Amino acid sequence: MRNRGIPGRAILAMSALSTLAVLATFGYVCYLLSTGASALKPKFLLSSILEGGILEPIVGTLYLFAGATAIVAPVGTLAAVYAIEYSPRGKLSRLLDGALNNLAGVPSVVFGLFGFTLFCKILGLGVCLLSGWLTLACMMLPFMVRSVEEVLKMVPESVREASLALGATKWQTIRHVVLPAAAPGVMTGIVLSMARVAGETAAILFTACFYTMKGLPTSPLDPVLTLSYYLYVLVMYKPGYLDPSEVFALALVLFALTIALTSAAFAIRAYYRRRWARWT
Amino acid sequence: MLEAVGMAEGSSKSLDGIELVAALCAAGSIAVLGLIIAFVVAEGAPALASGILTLENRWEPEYDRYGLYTLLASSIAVAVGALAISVPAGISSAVFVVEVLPPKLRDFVKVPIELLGAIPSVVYGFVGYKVIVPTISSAFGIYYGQTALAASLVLAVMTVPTILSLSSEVLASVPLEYREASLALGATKWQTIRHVVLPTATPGVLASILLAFGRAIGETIAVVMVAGCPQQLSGPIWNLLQPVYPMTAAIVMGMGEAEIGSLHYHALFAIGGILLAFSFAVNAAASLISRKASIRLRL
Amino acid sequence: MSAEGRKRLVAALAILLAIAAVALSLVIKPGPTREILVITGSTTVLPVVEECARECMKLNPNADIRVSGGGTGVGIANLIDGICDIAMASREPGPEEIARANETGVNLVLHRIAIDAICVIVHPVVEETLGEPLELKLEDLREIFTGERRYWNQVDPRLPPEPIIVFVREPGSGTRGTFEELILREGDECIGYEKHGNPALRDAVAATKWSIGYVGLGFVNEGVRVVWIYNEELGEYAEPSKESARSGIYPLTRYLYLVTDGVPPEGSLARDFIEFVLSPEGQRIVEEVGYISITERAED
Repeated sequence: MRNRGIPGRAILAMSALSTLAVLATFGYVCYLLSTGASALKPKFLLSSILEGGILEPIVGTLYLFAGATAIVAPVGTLAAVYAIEYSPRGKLSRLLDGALNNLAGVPSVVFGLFGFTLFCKILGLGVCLLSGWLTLACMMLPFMVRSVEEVLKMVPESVREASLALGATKWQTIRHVVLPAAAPGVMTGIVLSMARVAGETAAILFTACFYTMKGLPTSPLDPVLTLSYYLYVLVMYKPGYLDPSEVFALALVLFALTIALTSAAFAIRAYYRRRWARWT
Repeated sequence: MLEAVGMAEGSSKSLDGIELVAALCAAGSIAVLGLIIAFVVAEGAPALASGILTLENRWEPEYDRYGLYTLLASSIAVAVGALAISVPAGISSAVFVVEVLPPKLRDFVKVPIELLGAIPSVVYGFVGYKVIVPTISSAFGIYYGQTALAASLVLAVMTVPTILSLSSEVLASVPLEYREASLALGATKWQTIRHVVLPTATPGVLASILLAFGRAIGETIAVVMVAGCPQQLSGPIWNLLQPVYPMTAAIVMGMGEAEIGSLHYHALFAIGGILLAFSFAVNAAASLISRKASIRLRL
Repeated sequence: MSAEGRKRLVAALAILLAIAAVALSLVIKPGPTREILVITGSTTVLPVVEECARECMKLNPNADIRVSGGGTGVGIANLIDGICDIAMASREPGPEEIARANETGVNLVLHRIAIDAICVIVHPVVEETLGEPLELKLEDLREIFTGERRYWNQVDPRLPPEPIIVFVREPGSGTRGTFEELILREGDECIGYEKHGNPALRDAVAATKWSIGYVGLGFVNEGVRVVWIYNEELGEYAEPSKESARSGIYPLTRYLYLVTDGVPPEGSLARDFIEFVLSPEGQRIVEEVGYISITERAED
């Protein structure tokens, strides 16, 4: 037990090196993608894919996850409210917890198969935006529910008790007391799930995407192009269609979008974690 | 909060209504999982029943050969290769971040690490295709750089954040008393880490490794862009310099061409079933281990 | 407004924004209702159809023609499943596809739109080592693609003993189907790394030394070198080109098709499109892309 110098320093060196390696990898990816910055002209961003631009993928990505979020936000929030507020020790809540854990681990391509079978085939929607919304909403559920649950749990019990003591019903308590406090959690959930699916490709590959020839989807029953799908198509099926720097620019846009969403989510979460820490 | 003071008493009817809706949402979420299992099993069962799935080393839907060995061996080889890199890197980095870095630096360093895990897989596949594949090609003198090694490297980078964040959480939650007791007995910081902290954290770390394994098996887009997709494995499973065809890649490649209801279609769903089984097994094992761990820590 | 109220407002606004985006997409309809035509399938035919679609939409502003690749198999599968209106095919439908079509009541009608030559391509290093284009017989091709011959020195003694890296197309590909039909015997199977689509295969060959593959004539570029194929009847090696394909000297030729479910009715967008492709304007595009125009039209 008396030798401390060499093994200690060896572990220190190795662990420091690996941390540096991880950080360096991140730095390298950023640097590599930034080589596409030169191609980030407004013309590239705003012109159609027919003219070598990426307008449809950008708008398509926004459409896709706006709709998916609109579906999953209320459903996920209500499910979390049920699990924490109405029935914290109930059987359904425990089942929900287990189901969400497993759901979070399901590979995205299996979601694609599921979405294709249920929404495209059985419900007859075909390959369209709506199928993509529904499939992605299913994927986003665990993250949404967990984020809201986390912040609901942080609301001190005393606050609820005070409200009930003042004569409010359970729902009024939830609606006017707990949920407003939980709004940041809902926001985090929304932003985190958006970050998760903004880069999603496998699940929408055969449920929502199609190489459209002209224009943007005009209804939820039209197929859509997203940034991630377009990048995949360019690399696998159409090498040489765009200049290498333009393809890097596309990757850069997607990367920046995901990073922005994820950072926003973490910032919101860190903020209210600090804020609620003061109450307990 | 004090807004509640002015509230009139609500009727119990609206209470039941909302609770019912919320319960339905919860039930619906559970139903999603159930439906996924149901569909995958229903559409995959015909493939199993018809006996076209074999264990031979040929995945050639064109010729009606559905040998699973190619796909299974590829997925496992790539995942194990990825973990071989990301587990040591992730754990030792976690040790560094938790034990060595001061708290302010810790938060600062965690940012790029978490962001690394948030990068979309298609971007990773793209970087792998542009950088890793040519590098492997020139470094090893082989002509076709799309190999298991390329996929393993890409997956390693993708799984390091998982292992790192989970392990650092576990390490940080080792009770202070354990460390203090060890130091009080005269051990150095590093001896404490090696003989007290790490063993205590082992179950949680194991759980994080399992989850990373699950992620590696289930990753689709990044591997399909760099793995090569041959019809059979030309070398033994541990040869990382051969092109491989993981299960997820087979599904993505095959879905477009398979007509709904054809044998190929059902075979792909059967593969999806195998993937589901993997992810459930991994989840179950991970929660089992972490439950045991928290029991251990609570004494 | 209190802090809680503000956050609540922000959350509500975010959700509202999402819903608004969705609602807008339902409301915004540019101009009059458009006629939609969905075309998927062979990547060989894709460049022709893409360009024709562009021209067609210029002539007919109400038309919305959506084109996608995926391979002949995908196109025919989509046609049978009702996902597309026209399938692009670089081979005829196979027996399983016809059976499936009969099951679902789909009547596959083929429209020939062009003639194509399947070019066998190799990485430039092969030609550079030889000092001249590689010349192969159909039998040699068969042995290379089935894996009977694995090293380049077995093919031509002037080449080094490097392993032959074979690239093939994905299952269902029309180019693959036609190629295998032309060079394989009963019971043979091709072994190689699968690439999806002509561009991907060509780029794989261009990027991988000592590799071999096959693409449609319109996809040959400076990154690869073509192989001269032996014509049994004439007793000489033929370079793949438009002239040799048109005259029949080059042995690996095939038709390119558009496939529909039944004959499209007069006045429909599908009919107009097919007629455009078969018109002089459309056939000019065929030649521009690199294929050979078909002057008379045959339907079966």
